[in-house]
Parts: sequence; C-alpha cells; structure tokens
Amino acid sequence: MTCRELIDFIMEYEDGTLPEKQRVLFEEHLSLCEDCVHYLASYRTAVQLGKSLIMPSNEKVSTQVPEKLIRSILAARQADGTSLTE
Amino acid sequence: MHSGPLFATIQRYLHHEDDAWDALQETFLSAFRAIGRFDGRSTLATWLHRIAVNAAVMKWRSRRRTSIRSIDDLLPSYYDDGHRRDPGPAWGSLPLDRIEVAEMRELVRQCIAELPDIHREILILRDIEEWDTATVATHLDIEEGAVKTRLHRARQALRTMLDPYFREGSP
Ligand SMILES: [Zn+2]
Repeated sequence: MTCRELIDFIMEYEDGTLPEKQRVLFEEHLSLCEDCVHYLASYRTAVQLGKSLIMPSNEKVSTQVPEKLIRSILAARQADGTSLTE
Repeated sequence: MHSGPLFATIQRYLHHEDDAWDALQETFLSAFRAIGRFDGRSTLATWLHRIAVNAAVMKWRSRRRTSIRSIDDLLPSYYDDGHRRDPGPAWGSLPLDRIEVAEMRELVRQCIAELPDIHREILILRDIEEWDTATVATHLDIEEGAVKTRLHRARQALRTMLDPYFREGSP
C-alpha cells in the first residue's frame, strides 16, 4: 500500500468499514511510515475540530462549552499520541 | 412555536444576522408548505431543525463568493510513486497559548466557509448535524458513494487549511 492509497482509505479505516485484508495492509504501512502516522493524527484532529467547534455564535453558549471540548480533544490527542495503530 | 433554538441552529452556519433572519423566514415558509408531508416519524422539533439546517445551507449557496477555493488545491498531492509531496512536520498540540479558544472556533468556522459548496454542505450534514450517509444521499439526490467521497475530501481540505496553524513550532 502506498501513502496515497492509505490516505484514500482513512475514512473507511476510521469507520471500521475497511475490509480485513486492506486493514492489515493499512496498519502495516502505518507501522513503517511516520508521514502517514502524522497525517492520520492531523486528519482526526481536523475532524474533531469541525465537529465540535461550530457552535452558536451567541455568547451565552459559546463561552462555556467549547473550551471544555477543546481541552478534552487536547487531552485525547495527547493520550493517543504515539500508539495510533492501537 | 418557539423560534429561539431554530435561530441558534441557523446562526451556527450563517454569521450575518440578516442572512440568519432570511433563513429563519425561509424555514417557516418551507415548513408551512411541507407540513402535509410531516409524517410524525420524528418529532416536530427535529423536523423543523432539519428544515432550518437546509435553509441555512441553501442560503450559503446563494451567497456564493468569488474566492471559493478549488477542492483540488486543498487535497494532498503525490509523487508518481504514491508518496505525499511536502508532508511537513507533525501537528503540535493545539496552539491554545497563542490562539484564544474563540479565535480557534472562528478559524475553523472560516475554513469550513471556504470549502466549495458541495463539500461544505456534506461536512455540515454528516459531521456536524450527524445525518447518516443514506439520509444525506437521499436529501441531495446523489449516490451514497458520492457522499462518502465528498466527506473525505472535505475533511482533508479542512485539514489542509488548518495545517499552517498546527505545525509544530509554527509562529
Ligand atoms: Zn505513508
């Protein structure tokens, strides 16, 4: 599997819908390729930010919720850290 | 009928208050026209919420700006052997020491605003509103495969736009 193929498969990998055979190749590639590890981590972060940061613009809601969300994303990312392949 | 929550939903996607009011009005008009098709499978609030999101998405479409970026420019590019060009450094932790939370939120919102219409609406409906793939496909009258492809591209494009802010040691 090339880096390009891996990146094409990321969404299915994250959804758990990547067929077993490709999943093995995917993880094999990840274990050897730092660029792809970084890409996957940044993809996950971008998705999380997209999901959590669109909040109502009126202040009552926006000052309270997102900070917590961001902190928890941050914590999750740091816990995730090196072992992206699980 | 209480419009507060609907207005808040619309404001998630439309910054300009005038646009948000237009979309709210459009929501009520659409709901009024379609009430005969409300089948009771969801609650009325859920049904209205969906109409409101759709009104916001459509409003956005109608405000097409000239500076919308091409999706191809926002996807990774590769060498012939499949390696990524210019992979760049890993993302550091969120630069919260340099960017306020509110600024970060605004940044993400702006990046989403810059996506091409067909990618932005899928990102909103799938990732933010959490409609499932089949529902989005039916709603937009496209194949489920197209929903998946567009969502993956939208996410990659968002990642590309955020990249400069997350590169480790970036100013
Ligand atoms: Zn790779």
